[in-house]
Amino acid sequence: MRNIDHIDNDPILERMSAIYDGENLPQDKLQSDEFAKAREHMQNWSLIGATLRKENFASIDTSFADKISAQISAMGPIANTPIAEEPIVDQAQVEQKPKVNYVVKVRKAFFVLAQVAAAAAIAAVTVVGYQTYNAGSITDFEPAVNANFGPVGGVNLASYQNDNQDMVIRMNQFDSAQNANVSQVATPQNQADPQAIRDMREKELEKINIYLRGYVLDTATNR
Amino acid sequence: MNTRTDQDTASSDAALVKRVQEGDTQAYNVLVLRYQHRVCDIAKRFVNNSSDAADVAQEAFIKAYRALGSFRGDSSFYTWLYRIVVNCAKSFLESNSKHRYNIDVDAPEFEALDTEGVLTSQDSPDRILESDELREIILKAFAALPDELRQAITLREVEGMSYEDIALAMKTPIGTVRSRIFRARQFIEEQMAGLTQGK
Repeated sequence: MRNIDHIDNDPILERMSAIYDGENLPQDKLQSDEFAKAREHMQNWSLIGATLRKENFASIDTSFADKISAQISAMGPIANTPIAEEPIVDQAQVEQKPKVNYVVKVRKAFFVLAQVAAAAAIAAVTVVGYQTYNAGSITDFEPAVNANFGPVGGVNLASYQNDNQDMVIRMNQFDSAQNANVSQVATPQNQADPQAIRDMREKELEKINIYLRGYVLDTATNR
Repeated sequence: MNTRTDQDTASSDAALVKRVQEGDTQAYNVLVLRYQHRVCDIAKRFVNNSSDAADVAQEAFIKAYRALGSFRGDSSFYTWLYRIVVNCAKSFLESNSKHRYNIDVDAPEFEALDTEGVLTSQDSPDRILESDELREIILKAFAALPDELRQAITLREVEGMSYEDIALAMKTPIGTVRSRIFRARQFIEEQMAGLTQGK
């Protein structure tokens, strides 16, 4: 242990040491000359305290306090200092604004666009597939003969006017329960009975035959 | 080791704050000297740069001085000051993020920045001290103090106790406490002077 008896007893510095700790403050204002004398010591006392409290100070700029002191002196006592805007703000009100992450935003937008594109593609495939499938079914339901297949070069003869009876027949082929939902029309289960189709075709052929017989007889008579 | 309570700190600051409010600017200089390292440390946690941290800390001290007239003592001075520092640091970060690319890196103040994390001073480079070496000297000197001096300065600087409480704890007059704290500081200062003279 070292001897500390050699340390001079400096009443002014000892008083300033107490003032530094907020103790034994004089009645009057602190004297500038005394403060100036003790200033460098106070810097050291500040470092001693910070070290003992294990505060982090990566560097020491002894001019830091001097700069503030100069500004304070220029501003003068508090009574002469313009009242500043309230610097204390509730910490909840000074929440840092979240930084806009444009990468995340672009990713989100791309994800939404990809979803929309996928949905559109599926819808397109569904529509085209539905139409293609239905097209095949309709062919099966087409009447055996239509106007274009008429015996006189596609001329739709009056005696062979389609009175939509075929459609009536077709519609009658469906079970009423199955026809409740129109979307079920295209399913194979809902297709007409082959026997009914054959009957329909026979009726159509009979119509054609009647027409042909009438046409032939009429032609022969006119000759 | 850092067990200083808010109440202890408040009691030691209250008298100085009151003096500042009464117009004693020197009392505020004492508060700046006492809290400069802590405030710089807080600021550096936010801005992560010694030079910027010093600017933030300086701004915080000035703002605190201007607003000290409205300080009612509902919290301790340090708690109040801490909030100001945090707000200043956040404002600095927001401002810096907006104008990051407008900074002139060739400006003279940037020449003062070193690359090893040690802040330099343009005004008085000879006053810059290496912190680690200084810390070691202070702790060695502290360990070499007589027990009563080491105990007195520990109760004051670490525990933040008032002279009156220290006197009660050590069962000595307040005058003796004051003398012991001062002598402890003087002894450690002598060892610190050896470092600065050696440089």
